[in-house]
Amino acid sequence: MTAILLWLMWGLVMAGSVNFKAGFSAMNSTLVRDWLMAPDADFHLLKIWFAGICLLMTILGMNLIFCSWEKIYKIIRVKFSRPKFYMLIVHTLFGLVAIFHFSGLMLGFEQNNIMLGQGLSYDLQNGYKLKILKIDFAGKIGILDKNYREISEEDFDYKTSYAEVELSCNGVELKKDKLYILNPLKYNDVRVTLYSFITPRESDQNTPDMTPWIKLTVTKNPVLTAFLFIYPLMIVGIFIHLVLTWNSPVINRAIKEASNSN
Amino acid sequence: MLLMFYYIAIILYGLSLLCNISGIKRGETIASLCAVITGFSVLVFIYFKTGHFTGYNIFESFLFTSFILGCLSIFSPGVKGYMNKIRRWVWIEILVLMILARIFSEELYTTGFDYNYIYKILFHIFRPLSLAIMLYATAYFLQFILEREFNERTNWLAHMGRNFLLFSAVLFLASEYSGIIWCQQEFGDFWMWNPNFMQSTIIMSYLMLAFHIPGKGKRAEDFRSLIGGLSGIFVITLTILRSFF
Repeated sequence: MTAILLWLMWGLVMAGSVNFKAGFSAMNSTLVRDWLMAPDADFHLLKIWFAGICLLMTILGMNLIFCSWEKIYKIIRVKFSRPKFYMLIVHTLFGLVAIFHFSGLMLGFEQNNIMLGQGLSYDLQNGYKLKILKIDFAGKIGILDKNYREISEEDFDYKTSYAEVELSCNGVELKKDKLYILNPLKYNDVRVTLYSFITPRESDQNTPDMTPWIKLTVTKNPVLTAFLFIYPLMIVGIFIHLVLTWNSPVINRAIKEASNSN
Repeated sequence: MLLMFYYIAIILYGLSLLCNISGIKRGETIASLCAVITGFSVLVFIYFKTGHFTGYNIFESFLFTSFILGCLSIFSPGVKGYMNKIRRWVWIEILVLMILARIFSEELYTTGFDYNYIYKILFHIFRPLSLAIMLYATAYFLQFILEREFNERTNWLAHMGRNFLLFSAVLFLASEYSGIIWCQQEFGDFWMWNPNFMQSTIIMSYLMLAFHIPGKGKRAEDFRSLIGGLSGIFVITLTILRSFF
């Protein structure tokens, strides 16, 4: 655990450093699997760091498995204990959360910073295609391209601004829907997320179209639903363990003695 | 106005600490109640000024944490003889927290179009709540370390410290879960390799370390208490360091 902590501290320093900004940006713009496989990527130190964190997490995982086996044995053969049983469940759920986390980095696909205007389409991985049918922007044009932290509620109404999109796969229409900020389009494991409205990137000089463009992220994460289901179960499991172990007979005796002596 | 209430709250918390050290119980109760009410007024002021729940930057977050910690200290039930000493630690922690808050700009978070999104609000509520309870656990652990040499019946201090630390871990995970949903909905992916992610994972790893220190002897127990006791201080230090990136 100490090694993981130190390794993550190194990661924090790198993530905060200007020298590694491009590296982390590249890492975030796609699936980690694709980032690792990219032949032209020149982020060796970052890859070493990533390999290190994966190795440490693997050791932690193996430790978790061996400890859990020992606990299962004790619960079954030696003595059944409710708090220990709950803790075992929590550890199992934690293992699943970690597996789903890692799977999310390796399975499916992710494409960030897709910039599109009205009427334009974009070819995604695995034969998917995205077409922008309509963009309706309810806000001040001046806020386009600004950092989202700099945009106030008065400048932009994110609940009424939308883009109508069509998702298809190998020529077959899968879903057509309005896409809002904080309300992505979902089709099975595929999610199309509207990240922001931006100034038009290209325009015909004769008929300039001033309709804002949109910036999108498209992801396919086959384990997301399972992950979002398991994570709160783990939290509830820890809470139940806390309730069960809040008082202990030894501690209660000590409290009584302390109260009597005062 | 905001800063005036802020300074009054600091003075009142300082007065609570002085009364605690001097053994003036009634004075401590009155001063601490007034301090918590003033702290609450600051939060209400921020809410009406910005239109959103407080906690969106370090200044607001530390003030919210101080308020929760103050409430815990006043209203949390305890055992006679120990609670006085626990409260003393809490007043010190609140004073440190409030003074640290002043290092950061008191400018309130008024930008951002989505600050009323429920998962964003939950994320910013659970984080300070978790820190406040972690600092409360720190008070128990510190008192355990001090009392241990004089009194062997102090194990419950360590046990209560462990209870509050585990509760703070539950709240921290709840904040993480809210943050995951928020980021997934807003950015399309909750997994972003950046200083925020590193900070959260470091805190989570630290908590895991605190709960998994092996051994049953006195030495292991002391070490467990030390790591548990340092948790709140560790999180505050990390939050401040992270703000420079």
